[in-house]
Amino acid sequence: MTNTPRVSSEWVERGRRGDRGAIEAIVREVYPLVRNVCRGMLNNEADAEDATQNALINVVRNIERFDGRSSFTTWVYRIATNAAIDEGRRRGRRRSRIVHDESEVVDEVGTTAQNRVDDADQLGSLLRQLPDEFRVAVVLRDVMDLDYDEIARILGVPGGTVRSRIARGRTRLAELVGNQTDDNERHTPHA
Amino acid sequence: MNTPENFERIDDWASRLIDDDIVLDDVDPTSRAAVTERAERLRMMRDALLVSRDDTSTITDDTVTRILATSPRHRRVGAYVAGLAAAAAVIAIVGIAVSSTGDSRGPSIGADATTQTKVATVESAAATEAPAATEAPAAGQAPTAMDVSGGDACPDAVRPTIIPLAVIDGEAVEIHWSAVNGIVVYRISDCSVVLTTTP
Repeated sequence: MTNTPRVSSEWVERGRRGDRGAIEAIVREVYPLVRNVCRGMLNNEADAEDATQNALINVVRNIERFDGRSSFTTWVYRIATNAAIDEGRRRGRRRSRIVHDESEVVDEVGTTAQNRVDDADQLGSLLRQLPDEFRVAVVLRDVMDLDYDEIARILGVPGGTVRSRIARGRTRLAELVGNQTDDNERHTPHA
Repeated sequence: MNTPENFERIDDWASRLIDDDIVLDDVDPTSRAAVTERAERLRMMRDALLVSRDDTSTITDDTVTRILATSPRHRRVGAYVAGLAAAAAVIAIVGIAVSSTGDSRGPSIGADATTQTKVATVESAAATEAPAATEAPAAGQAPTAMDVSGGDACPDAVRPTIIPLAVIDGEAVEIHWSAVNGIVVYRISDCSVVLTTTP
């Protein structure tokens, strides 16, 4: 696993007691993780920044209640994914319009440029079109590089469900890419 | 046979294959070629998404400050600071009242407290009932710490005394404070509440 923040248990304990220095250190340390989750989920810098700040505010507000039943990092991931999903829903109406507009642009270039499917930004844009439950699983696996067990702990679902959501999310994403590249020789049934 | 079910199974195998959850030997031999081909495509997508991650950004100091300001403990501390500021204002009033020589009326604690948004006064009713008490005595008549023996005159189980004796607008008061319950100012003469803060 990569991108794991180095948050010591001492920091967490001090943070739970309200130690401002420890809380500040935690906020700074987990920021990249939270931001990357939100960017992966939202693929829009402004929305991702809003979601990131909301997630960090939730970390600060609720750290006193962190009970240690999961690892602190798992807890932060959970908060980050929830904040990103909430932000996405809040901006849903605007997002629908943006996705629609961007799809039109992608249509224009995608049909003639197979190599564009590898472009991370384009993939991120397509990823945003997946349902929340598939998107979050794919982001945690393919963007954050977490293993199945960790994703299961974050989402609070069995490992088999995680495997299934990742596979189906990737399949949907491949379909979307295929739709952009005239390489859509088959269709996998939607969930 | 190219059924949707077969495609779904191939996708599932391909996804698990690129995650090293299975090896190709675990796949049905008749599907291995299709799974391998599909896995290659999914792997390209995964590689592209993986590099989209950006570990280098850092949070700005302003953002950290904003976020920390939302801490419940921080907000409580803010309330206590406001309470302490009110107490300081009270003490300042004492100084004014004590040193006042020409003005027959000292500054009103109620008016001063309005500058503290988290401070609530309970003085106004008492002030109207006993207007004489709100008037500062003439110079030399104002009670001071020398005139009134201070101490724990007004017991408070949850807020210990922090200032046993102060004079507000000519009246001796006792100031209590605790982190959980905030500040309360008691009139020593009858232990009625002059002022309290909301933590």
